[in-house]
Amino acid sequence: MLKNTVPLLITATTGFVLIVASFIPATVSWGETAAVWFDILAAIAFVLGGGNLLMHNLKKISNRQAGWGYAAVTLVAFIITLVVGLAKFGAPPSTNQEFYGEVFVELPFSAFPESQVFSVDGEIPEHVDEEFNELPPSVRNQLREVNGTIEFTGWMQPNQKQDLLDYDPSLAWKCRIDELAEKAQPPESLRGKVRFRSDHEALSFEGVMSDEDREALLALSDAPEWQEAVTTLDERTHKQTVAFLVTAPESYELPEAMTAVAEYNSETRQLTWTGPMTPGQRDTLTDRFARIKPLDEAGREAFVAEIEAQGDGLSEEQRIAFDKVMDTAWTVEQFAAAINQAGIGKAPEKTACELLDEMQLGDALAVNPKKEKPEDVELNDEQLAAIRDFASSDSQDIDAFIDSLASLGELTDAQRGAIQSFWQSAPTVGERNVVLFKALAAEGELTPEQKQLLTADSRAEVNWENAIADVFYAAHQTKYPWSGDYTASGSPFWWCYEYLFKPLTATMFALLAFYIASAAFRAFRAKNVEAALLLGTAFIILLGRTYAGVWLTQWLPETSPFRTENMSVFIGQVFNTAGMRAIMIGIALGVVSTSLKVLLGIDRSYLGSSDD
Amino acid sequence: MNRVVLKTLVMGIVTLWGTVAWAAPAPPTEVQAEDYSGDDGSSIVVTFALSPDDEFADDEADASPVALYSVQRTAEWGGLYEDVGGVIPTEDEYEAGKASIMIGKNRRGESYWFRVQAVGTDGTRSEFVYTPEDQPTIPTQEFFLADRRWLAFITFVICGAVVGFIAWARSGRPLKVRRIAGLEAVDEAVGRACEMGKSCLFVPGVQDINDIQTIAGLTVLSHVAKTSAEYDVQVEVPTSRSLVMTAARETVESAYLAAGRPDGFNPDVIYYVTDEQFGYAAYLSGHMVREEPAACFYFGVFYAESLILAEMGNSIGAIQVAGTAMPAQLPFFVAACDYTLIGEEFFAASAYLSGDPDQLGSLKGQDFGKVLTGITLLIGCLLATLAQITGSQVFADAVEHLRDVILK
Repeated sequence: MLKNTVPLLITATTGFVLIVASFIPATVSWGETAAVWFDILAAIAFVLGGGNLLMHNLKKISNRQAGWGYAAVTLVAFIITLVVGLAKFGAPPSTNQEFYGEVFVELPFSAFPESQVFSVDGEIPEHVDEEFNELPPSVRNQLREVNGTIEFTGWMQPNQKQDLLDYDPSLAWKCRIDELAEKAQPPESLRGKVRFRSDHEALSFEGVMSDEDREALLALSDAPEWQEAVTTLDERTHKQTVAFLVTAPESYELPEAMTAVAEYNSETRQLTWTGPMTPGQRDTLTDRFARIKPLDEAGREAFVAEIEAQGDGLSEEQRIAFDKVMDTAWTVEQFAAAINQAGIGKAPEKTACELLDEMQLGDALAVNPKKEKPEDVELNDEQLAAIRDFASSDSQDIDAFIDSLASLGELTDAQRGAIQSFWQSAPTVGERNVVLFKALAAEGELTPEQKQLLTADSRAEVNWENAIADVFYAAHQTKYPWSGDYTASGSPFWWCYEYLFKPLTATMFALLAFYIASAAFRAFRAKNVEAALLLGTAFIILLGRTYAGVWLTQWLPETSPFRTENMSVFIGQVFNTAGMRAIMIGIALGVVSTSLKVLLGIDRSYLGSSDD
Repeated sequence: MNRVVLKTLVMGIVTLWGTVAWAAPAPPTEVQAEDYSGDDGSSIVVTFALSPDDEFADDEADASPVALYSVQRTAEWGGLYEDVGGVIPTEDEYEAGKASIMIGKNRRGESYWFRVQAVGTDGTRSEFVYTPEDQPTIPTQEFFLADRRWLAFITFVICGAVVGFIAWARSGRPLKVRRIAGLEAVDEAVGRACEMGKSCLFVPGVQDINDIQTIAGLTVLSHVAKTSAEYDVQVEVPTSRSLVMTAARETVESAYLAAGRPDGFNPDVIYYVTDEQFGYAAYLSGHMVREEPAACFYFGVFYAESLILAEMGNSIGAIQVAGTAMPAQLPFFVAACDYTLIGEEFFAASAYLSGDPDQLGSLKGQDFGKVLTGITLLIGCLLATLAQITGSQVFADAVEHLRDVILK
C-alpha cells in the first residue's frame, strides 16, 4: 500500500502546490522550493544512471551478447569522459574566480584582530515585510547591532558598501553606512593593498609587502594565528618568477614604475619578477608599441611608396582601400572634441549625510541631490596648436603631452583622463597595418615582401603580449585551481567533445537528410484522394522554396496569389497554422486532463497499477 | 526719446519671444498613486492629468511641446527621489486627458511618495507635482493575482468538467469513446512479436519524468508490459533519463505482477543509455539492427531523432506505433510508422486502454473543453468580423478584451 500511496501523495502535493503558486502570491516560494527539490533529485539520478550504464554494459561484455564490442567502446568512452571531466585536466582556473595581482592566506573570521571592529551610532532598520529584514549575504557575518550601535568587523569592500546601501532607501541609513565605510578601512599606509575577504575567509595583499607594511599588519594583533597569517602572506608576496623575454628588442628597458618589483637583464633577456603581477602592471608592460597618428598627404604618399618598393604598385582599387583605412585614424578635431567634452562641468553628487542635514534643516522638498556645477573648461588656442603639433610629431610620450597642455592653460583631471583614454583607444601601428593588409589583399595581389612589411609589427606585438601574458600567469598564485570550466578550450575534455562527440553527433543528425527522402517517397504515393492532395500540396511547397518554382511563375505579378512562392507561403501560414493550432488545442486539453488524473490518483498506471 | 521707445519695444518683443519659445511646459496636475490591487505587493499605479500644454496632434508641425512625463519615487518624505519611469501618453490617454504608469519593485508594507514633471521637447522641465505628504502609498500583497483571474476561471471550468464527467461515469452511465486504431494495434503488435518469437522495443522519449508526455508514455508502457507478460514477450525499454528508467522499472514490474507473472519480470531489460539525444538515437538504431524487434513503440517527447528511429524500425520490418504531442514530429511518425496517436489521442491512450469508467469520464471532460474552445473561437471570429465590417469601437474593444484580458 505504502509503495503506491506515498509517491501518489508526493505527486499530488507537489502538483497542487505548483498550481496554487501560479495564482496566490504568498505561495510562490513553495513552488520554487518544489522545483529545487526536483533538481536535487535529478542530480542524484545522474549517479543512478552512471551506475546502471556500467552494470548493463559490463554484463553485456561478460555474456558476449550481440554488440558487446560496442558496449566495450561505450564503457571506455564513459570512463575517459568521466575522469577528464571530473578532474578537469588541463582546464585553467576560472578568470572570474581568481584575484590577479593578489596573494592570499587563509584566515578564519574568528582570528581577525579585535582592534579592527568599527562602529557608528544607530540601528539596523526594520522593514514591515520580514523578507526585507535579511541582511545582504556579503556582510551577514560582519555586521551586527549592539546596544544602539552598528558594528562592522573587518574592512568594508566597495561591493559590501553597495549591498548595505541597497538594504534600506532612507537617507539616515545611507549616511550611517557612508560613515561606517569610511571608518572600516585598514590603517592608512595599508589602504588599497590589504583586504580581508570574509566570504573566502582569507587575508589578501596586492603587490609586494614592504617591511613597513608587515610591521603595520603585525601590530594589529598579537594572536598567533594572525601573526602566522601575516608572515605567510609576506613570504608569498616575495615569491620570485623568472622568465626569458626572447622576443624583447636589444634596447628594451623596464618602465620605471616596474623597477621596484622587477629586474631585467638585457644581455640574457631574463626577467625576474617579485610577487604577483597586477592586470595594470601587465598592461603597462605590454603597452610599448607606437600608436598611430593622422597621416597627411605627404605621409600617405611616403607610406604608399614604402609598400610599392616591396613589390608591385598598388592598383586603383587598392589605393582607394588604402585611403579608406588611413581615413579611420583619429583626427585633431576628434581629440580636441573629446578633451572639451570632458571639460564640461558636472555637478558632483552630495553625500547622504549632507542631504540628510539639508532635509532636517530646511524645506524637505527643496533638497537638491547635486552640488553646484563647476564652470566648463575649454581648450584655448595655444592648447589646440599643441594638439596639432603632437599629432604631426613622432612623439609617443602622452604624459609629456599632458604636461605641456597643462602648462598652456587650464586642464581638469577629467580632461587628463580623457586624453589618456583617447590615446589608449587609438590602435597601434601594427594593428592598423594588419587592417590595411586585409583591405589591400581583398582588392588585389600583394607580394610576400609587402605582406611581410604590413604584418611584421603586428606579429611582434602579439609575440610580446604572449610573452608578458606567460609571465603574468606564472607569477599568479592560483586560489581556486579547480574553478575552471571543464570544457575550457584546449583541455582533454574539450578535445573529446570537439573532435569526437561533435562529429559523431553531426553524423547521426546528417542521416536525417536521407531518411526524409525515403519517408517522403512513401508518404507521397498517391494511393487515394487524400494522399493525392498531400502530394499536390507538398509539390507546391517544394516548388515554392526552389529557384525553379519562382522562375516558372515569374511572369505573373509579384502579388499574385498564383505565384508558386506566394502559394507556398499561403499554405504554410493559413492551412498549416490552422491545423497546427487545432492539434495544439487538443494537446493542451489532453495535458490538463492527464495532469488532473495523475494528481487525483485516478490514473495510476504509470506506477504500474490502478489498484493499491 | 524715439530711440528709447524703440529700444524698449525691441526688448519687449525679444523677451516675449523668449518666454514663448523657451518656457518650460506647464506641469501635470492631480498626481495620485495607488497600490495595484491583485498583485504580490510590488506594484503601484501612478496617475496624473496631462499638462495643459500637452495636446495630441496628427501633424508634426503642431506637435505637443511635451516630450514625456518623468516619474520619480522616494521612500521617505522629502528624501532622495529616484527616476522610476517615463510616460509618453497614448492617443486614448490624450482623449481622456489622463495618463498612468505602473511602477514595480516596491517593497511590501513600506510607504512611498511620487512626483511627476513634464519634460519639454527642448529639454526644459516643468515644476514637480507631488503626491501629498500625509497620503503615502503602501503596496500590499493580495491573496489572489488579479491578472490571472480569467486563467483561474477557465482552469476551474475545464478541471470541473473533467471531475464532473468522472463522477458521471462513476454513476454507471454509459460513455461512448470512438475507436482509436493506433491503440487497438498495440495488442496486435505484441501478439505479432509473440508469434515471431521476438521482443518488443518501447522508447519513452528523450525528456525526463517531469514532462507530462513521459508520464503519458509510461501509462501506455504499463498496458504494453501487461500484454507482453500475458503473451510471454520480452519488452526492452532503453531510456535516456535515469529517473525514467527507475519509473519504467516500477511500471513494468507492477504490470507483470498484475498479469500474474511476477517471475517473468527482468529489470535488466530496462536500462539507462545516455542523456544525449543523438547518442540515444545511435544506440537505438544499432539495437534495432542487431536485435530486430518485432514491434517498436515510441511514446513520449521526440525531436529530430523521431524520423531516424521510425525509419530504422521500418527498415527492419517491425510494426510501429507512435504517440507524441510534439506537433513538428507528428508528420515524420505518420509517414514512417504504421499507427500514430496524434496529440490528444496520446493523452487519451491510458484511459482508452484501461477501459476504466473513471478515466473514460476524463475524456468527456476534454471534449467539454473543446466545445468551450470552439464557442470562444466562434465568438472571437464573429466579433472581429463585426468590428471590421461596422467599424464599431464597441466590437473592437470586445475583441481586445477577449484577446488581452480573458485569453491573456
